[in-house]
Amino acid sequence: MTDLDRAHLLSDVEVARFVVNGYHMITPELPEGLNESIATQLDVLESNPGDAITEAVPELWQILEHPAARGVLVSLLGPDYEVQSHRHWHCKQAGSAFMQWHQDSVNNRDLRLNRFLGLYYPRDVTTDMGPTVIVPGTQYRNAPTDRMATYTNIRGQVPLVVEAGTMAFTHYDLWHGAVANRSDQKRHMIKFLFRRTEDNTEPTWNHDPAAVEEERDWNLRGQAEDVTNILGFTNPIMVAQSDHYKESRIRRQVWQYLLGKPDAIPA
Amino acid sequence: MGVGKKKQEKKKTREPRKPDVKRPRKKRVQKEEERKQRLLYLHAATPNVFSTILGYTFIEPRPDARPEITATEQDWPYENVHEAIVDGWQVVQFPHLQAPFDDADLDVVGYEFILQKMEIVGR
Repeated sequence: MTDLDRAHLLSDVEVARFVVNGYHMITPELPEGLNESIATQLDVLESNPGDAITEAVPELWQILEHPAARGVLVSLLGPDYEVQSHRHWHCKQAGSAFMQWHQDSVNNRDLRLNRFLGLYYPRDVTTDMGPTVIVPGTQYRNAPTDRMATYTNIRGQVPLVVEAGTMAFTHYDLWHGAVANRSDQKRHMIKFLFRRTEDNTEPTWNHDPAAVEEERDWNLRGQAEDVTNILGFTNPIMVAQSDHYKESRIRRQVWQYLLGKPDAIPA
Repeated sequence: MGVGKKKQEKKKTREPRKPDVKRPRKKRVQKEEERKQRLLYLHAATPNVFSTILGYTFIEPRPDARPEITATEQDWPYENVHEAIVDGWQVVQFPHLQAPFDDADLDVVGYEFILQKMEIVGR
């Protein structure tokens, strides 16, 4: 890892917030014109190349290899993370309908933080262009997508209304959907998949052992800026006590797992 | 048979039913038929009707009605199920609580109440 990469590693608070919310966003400083160049090439693609989107638009590698992106990936998946071969260009056409809430794949969830998505948006996304919408904190729910069919708006949902060049790293199991595109423009998003290859033996981010020594702050609660209180108190969609206690326990297990204790998560 | 006589006299004095007497009643019945079922799914934090709503979905009885996720500021119709009941919604299904209980796993968000309101709804 280069010194430049180290400068982009996440802090304890940022990792704790990812563990709680299931997403982290960056807007790397990219070469001028790179985002628009990628978007223009996508505009004229006549068919979806599927996994070969990086062959159709090789400049996408510059996004993945940017130190800010690498910093997030090393922090959360370790230095030997893998960019998986599956990737997909999600082109939301002008006038296309909304997409219902779902979790990707089947309900075979794993609490180990061993894979997540990177969603790259080469152009600004406005509210009417069909932004992706996520529900923070839902990544630990084992919910069949069919059972989500009666939800529409969920408290605390976050539309990814973002500026060009944004990369949103999202937990693989985070609930997500998309708003209808009522604009006259295509909304481009390239989805990448990343995977851990080795369990951590130590923290792989900018970790300060003192960061976890704070006491519980019953006044600030989730507003506190330290790992103990972020993991223990944050309640992004205002669930009730039973779910909140379960979430807090899972977050502490995931945190311990990331510190290098693979047995922290029950088999 | 004096009593029978009196009955006969009473019968004679009864006025024939006017043909337009039924009109108002008939009109009201027609409106009843025009009332349609509006549905409201409310996902509450607990099965208690006073608990905070975490999600909602309106389904209007129109052919093109399709509720959809929005990216703009959310305008929450009610803070809890009770507020909806006060506003005239009727609960037609309460949350099912018979599912196996798991003290570790998390599944869906909230407890689903389904409510209805029978109203005349324009096309």
